[in-house]
Amino acid sequence: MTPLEHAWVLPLLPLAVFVFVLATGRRLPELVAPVLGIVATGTVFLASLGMLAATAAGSVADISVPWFSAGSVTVEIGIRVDPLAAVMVAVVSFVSTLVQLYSIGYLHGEERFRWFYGAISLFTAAMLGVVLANGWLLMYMCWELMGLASYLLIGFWYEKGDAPAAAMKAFIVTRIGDVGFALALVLIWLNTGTFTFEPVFAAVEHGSWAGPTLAAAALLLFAGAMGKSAQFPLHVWLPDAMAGPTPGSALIHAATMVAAGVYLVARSFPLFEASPSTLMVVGVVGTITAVMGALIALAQNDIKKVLAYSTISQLGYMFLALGTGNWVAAIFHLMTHAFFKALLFLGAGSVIHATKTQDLHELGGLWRKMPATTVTWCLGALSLAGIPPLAGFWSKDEILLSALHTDQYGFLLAGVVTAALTAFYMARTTFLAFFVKPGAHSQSAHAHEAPWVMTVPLVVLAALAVLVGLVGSPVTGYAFGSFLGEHAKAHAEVLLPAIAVGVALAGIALAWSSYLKHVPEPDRYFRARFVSGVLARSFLIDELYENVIVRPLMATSALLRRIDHAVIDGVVRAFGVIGLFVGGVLARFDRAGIDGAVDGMATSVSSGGEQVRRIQNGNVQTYLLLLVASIVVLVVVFAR
Amino acid sequence: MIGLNHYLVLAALLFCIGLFGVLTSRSALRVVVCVELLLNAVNLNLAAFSVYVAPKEAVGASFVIFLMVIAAAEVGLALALVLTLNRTTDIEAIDRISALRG
Amino acid sequence: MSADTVMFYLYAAVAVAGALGLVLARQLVHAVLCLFATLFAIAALYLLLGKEFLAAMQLFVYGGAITVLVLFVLMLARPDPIAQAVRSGPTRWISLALCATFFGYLAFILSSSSWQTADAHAHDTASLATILFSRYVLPFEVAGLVLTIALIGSIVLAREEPPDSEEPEEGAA
Repeated sequence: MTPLEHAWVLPLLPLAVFVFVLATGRRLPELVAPVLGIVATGTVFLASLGMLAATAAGSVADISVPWFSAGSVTVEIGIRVDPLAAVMVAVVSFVSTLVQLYSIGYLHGEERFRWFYGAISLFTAAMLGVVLANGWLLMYMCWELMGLASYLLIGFWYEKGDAPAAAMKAFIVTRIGDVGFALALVLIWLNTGTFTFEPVFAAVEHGSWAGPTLAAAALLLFAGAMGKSAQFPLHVWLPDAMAGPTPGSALIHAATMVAAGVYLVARSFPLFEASPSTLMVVGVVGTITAVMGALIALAQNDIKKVLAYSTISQLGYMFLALGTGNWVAAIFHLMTHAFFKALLFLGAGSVIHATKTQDLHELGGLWRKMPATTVTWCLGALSLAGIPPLAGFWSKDEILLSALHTDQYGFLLAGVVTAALTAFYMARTTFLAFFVKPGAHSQSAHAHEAPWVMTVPLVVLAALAVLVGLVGSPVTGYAFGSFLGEHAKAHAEVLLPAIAVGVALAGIALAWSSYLKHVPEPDRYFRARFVSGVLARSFLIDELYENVIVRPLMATSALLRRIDHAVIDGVVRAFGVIGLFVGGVLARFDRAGIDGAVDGMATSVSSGGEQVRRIQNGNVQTYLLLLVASIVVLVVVFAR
Repeated sequence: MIGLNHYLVLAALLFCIGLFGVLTSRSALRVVVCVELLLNAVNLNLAAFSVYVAPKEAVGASFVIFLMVIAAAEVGLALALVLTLNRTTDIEAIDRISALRG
Repeated sequence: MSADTVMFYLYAAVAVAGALGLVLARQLVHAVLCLFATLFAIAALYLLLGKEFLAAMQLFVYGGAITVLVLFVLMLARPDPIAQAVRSGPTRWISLALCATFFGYLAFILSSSSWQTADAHAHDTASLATILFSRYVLPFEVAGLVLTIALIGSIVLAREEPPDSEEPEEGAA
């Protein structure tokens, strides 16, 4: 056994922490839970450095053990350690370690402090399982576990407000996608007789599995990815998921879990490559999501909601990259995004921790009070905006170039537009939260810098948000791409990066002039009154921006948001409503029958309604009766 | 000569009677007891298969032992539930319990 | 008709009669006693199959332990007569129809299928012991664990609430 083949131990470390925290409960001294969690994920991170080194040297481990066999069928599960898995393990364990460190400060004094570490450990274990799995089956199981951990963290403050509903929504919406994943498992099994990646990819490569079932399997896998990665139209859960504790959001709903969908598609890429139309679907969904997320983020006044829609938008960017066939660019952006978005979320957490508010209009002027948070936040925001030489620039550039090289100008245009919008909303958020003069409702007055356990992760992440992009830049000879096994492509372009940076700078400038140069009244940009009078002349540029660009954008953004809420939530809700309606009709039948009992006809309707209603009467025996009836029918129909 | 099918049909009959009992009893206790009957029917099946189909090894018989263990565990828990139900509610007949009502 | 055949039909009749008594008896005590008859008949059938050990276990576990336990609970719980009765009305007839169909179909399938039977050769208890403690030793241990957990579980469930229960004992938050 090579050392790499022992990697199966890694997910078990955080899992052991989870079990331990669960079992000991309140008896555990308060600080033991974070120490255990950090030690476990820290160990995984150190191991992942070894994995990176080993896989860079070219060794790959792929081992399977039989899980169970039934008759002639043997189902195997196992792990695969290759450069892609090593990168993901490193990112996940690193962000998880920092988030846990940060949470010591953020959740200090929280009643379920230990439980948070249990849930984070469970999540980390599941995510490591997903990235280390060498087949879709184990991946699916860990994928669902991840969903459970996500549910637990969104509902962490289950006694408050919307948290239980948000947790439920996240669970159900992602489950819609997961049905696709499960069906994809069935298709893969039926067509290849295995769940392991390598034989399936070989079958696809040799053409022994091709045609519509392959495309269907790829699309169904993508449906799973859409649910987990909050892609249009299954993105509705992610903004609500912000009801959870901010560090949890940083880890799960920004940096890692939501990126698992991207990983799934990247990992299954041979399946997608074999049918270009599926790639097109992936790209189009990603594009829609990227632009839509960015537009909606413009109009958000909740600092976490901005970041949530920004995450949706950036995940769309990654799928756009996958759609152009460049999975390396997607994984590269996934990695840089994991660092700068975790940084931004933790920065937002620091702000929320200090001011107890998430509303941008109740913030402002924080840069005096919280210098460390401000500086690190700005680095993260610039990185997200794609300003060179920060990480986000390199990965975004890679995606745009790949759209250019494959002549997919629609994707390219959408990418550039999104880059501009991203720069604008990040600048707006930054200015409103940190730089404008605090308004009347501001809570910033008593803000103070966070304790060191919270600032250290910020600084570390900020350093990475600045530097990590270099691994995929010309400086290191595109080391990231060749590490993942793709040959470096010609990167002779200068014009496109220049345009991308230009639009990003323009976005920042626009935000600067709209929000910082002239301090806006709260929610002025939603009523956008045309200010009359001579003094207003000097605002002409602003008014122009406002009326020509900002306002239509805001309107579109508000409209999209409304569509978001009305249509997409509506569709989800419609199923419930249909159920209610049917129930209502049946109930009305019932009532009508009882009211008109004199009528012989009505009596029969009544008893009919009563019979139908009895199906849902809560009586276990009736359920059992239906079960037995179904079994009898099945036996009679299907038995010889 | 008594063959395998005799045992199987007898087990099927006992199973169906037990199933009828589970479906129609109003008393939780009777349901528990009827479940025991179901398990016994299955046991009879296993024992008969063990003797007639795979006589080389006592695999079927060992499964009977396992089922008996499960049955003992199940009946212990179920009776504890019956007692608790009896103590905490004044509901006697299980067709009156509708906490699962949708 | 050989002696075995006569015995089989005799035991089978007792088993079925007991089972019918179990589901039809008005009083629960009678039902439990009928169950005992069925269990006894099944033990006899095990003997007929040459499974002495199973027969003994059947008598110990079911006849001895479970029946007595059920009778104890019956005495403790004292269900009222209404609850003891079986359900009436359409449910009863639907259930009857379902179960009859199910049995009819099973009997049809069973009688029309042929099994690859080896010579009916009963292995002795030693071979059962061998397989339990060699190939199935792990499930055997797990079964023991299941039984222990069930024991603890039923004690927890059936225990009277302690009068001073103000201290909420939460294992895990």
